[in-house]
Amino acid sequence: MKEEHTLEGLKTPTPPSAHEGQFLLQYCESCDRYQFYPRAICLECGGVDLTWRKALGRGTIYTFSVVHRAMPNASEYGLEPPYILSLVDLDEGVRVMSNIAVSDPEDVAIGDRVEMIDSDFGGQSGVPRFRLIAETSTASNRA
Amino acid sequence: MRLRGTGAIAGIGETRVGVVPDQGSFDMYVEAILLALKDAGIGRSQVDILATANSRTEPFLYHSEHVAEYLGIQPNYCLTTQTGGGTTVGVVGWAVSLIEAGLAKVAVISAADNLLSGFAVGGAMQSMAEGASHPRFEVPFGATVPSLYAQLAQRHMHDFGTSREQLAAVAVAARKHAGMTEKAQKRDPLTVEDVLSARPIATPLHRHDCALISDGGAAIVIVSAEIARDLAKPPVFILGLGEGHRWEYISQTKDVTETAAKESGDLAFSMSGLKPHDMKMAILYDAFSILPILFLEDLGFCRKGEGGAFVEDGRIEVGGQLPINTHGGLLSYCHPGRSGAMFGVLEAVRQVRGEAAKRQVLDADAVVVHAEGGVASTNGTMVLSQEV
Repeated sequence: MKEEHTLEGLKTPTPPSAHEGQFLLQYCESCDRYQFYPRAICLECGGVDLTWRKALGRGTIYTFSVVHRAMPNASEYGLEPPYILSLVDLDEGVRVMSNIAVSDPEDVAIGDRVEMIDSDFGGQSGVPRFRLIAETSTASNRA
Repeated sequence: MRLRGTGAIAGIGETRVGVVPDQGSFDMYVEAILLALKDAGIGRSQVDILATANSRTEPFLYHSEHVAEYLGIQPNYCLTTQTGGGTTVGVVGWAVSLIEAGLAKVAVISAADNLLSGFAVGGAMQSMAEGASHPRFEVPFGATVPSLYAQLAQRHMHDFGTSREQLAAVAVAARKHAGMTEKAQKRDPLTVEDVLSARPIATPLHRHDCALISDGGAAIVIVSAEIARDLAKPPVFILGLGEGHRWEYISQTKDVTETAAKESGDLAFSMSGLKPHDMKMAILYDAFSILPILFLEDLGFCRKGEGGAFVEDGRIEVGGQLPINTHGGLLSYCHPGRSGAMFGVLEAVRQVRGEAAKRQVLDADAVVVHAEGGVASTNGTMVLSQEV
């Protein structure tokens, strides 16, 4: 049973550096499920049979907010208000916080499909920023 | 349940609130505590339990211990927390448990800070955001405290049709109540239109949907029910207490429109033997206008999704069916950070005692106080009453 592991020296896993620039999600081999944020144990089974799998990079907007008043350090992260902060439901079944890059904040709605922007990761989060998938966005549907 | 009614709030005290540039957080603690002890008619040397919420502007590692020493007291029990909000109720629960166990008789719980005058412009915002947003998984995406709560509001509007007008009704009611409260930081009347047209902070939350940033300190004295009955002022019995935690960071919960106020409320009400409809007024932590709506639902005053309708038509104003935050709340009375919830407790005590002057809700024999912290992460509910 995988739980008979030693807890000594427990470390929260981070994505392997050889895969830098890729969007990797933690995956439990025993439960066949993804989890976020990465932990030393699986939330479901409590085991340590955890690996990293490449995420599809696609999801659906669960909720969002157009941020007009930003933190003083926003520009350090390349953010200039108004920008969109969002909870995105990834197709893998986990939810992440990220930004949605869009030219007009009015174009964003709950339920919109998004895809990751390659090489635009938020700090050390391992999570990318997203853009609307043009052909399914409500904006283009309204056009 | 054993805790029910074993403790009573016997004294309350508070400093000036709002813009108070000439008094530091530590001195506010001392003032509030001395005022609360005076209100209770209890001497310093009787204090067995002292709990404080440290300070962002004048922190000490062992803050409550230092306050005790400054006051010349040696309580058996000292506790320093780093948070207010729901933790305030948690600390009350701890103190009442010690009293119920027969280990203590008098507790002082206090919180004070200078979020407004103690920081440079923007400093308070930075300080609070550092706590509420995850440094690795949220900060790099520009999460601010309002933007986290805003996402709860946005989803609530999507799922239930809650409107900005309904959010505004919460802010309008708070300001109306502050208008009846001399000490309140912001008292000039607000209309729904004012709230709608104010500058956006993080949609759907605009300026008046967000709590103030203030200075201020408050304290309560909790005593055993036996001691309370011998004191000059009518005791305010703590009939029910509960806490609830479902998440810390909002990405980790399936449904951001339902909070652990459900668990904390269920615990508090069932301990008290009372139900939501027995409450004559409510203190519902209003760091943002969406919160009272969520808590009205999760505490059981209305069904999930009906909170928006509940706050309309003056229902939550003095004179209405369930007045909330009759002092003006965090939205209009003050929000010095960790002491925000404590001011709500004080107002609840005033209402039960009949000391709420122009804001008095007649026959306010039972009231509920709900506070939260984080992003609706830490929840605590208390039911207070004139009688056991």
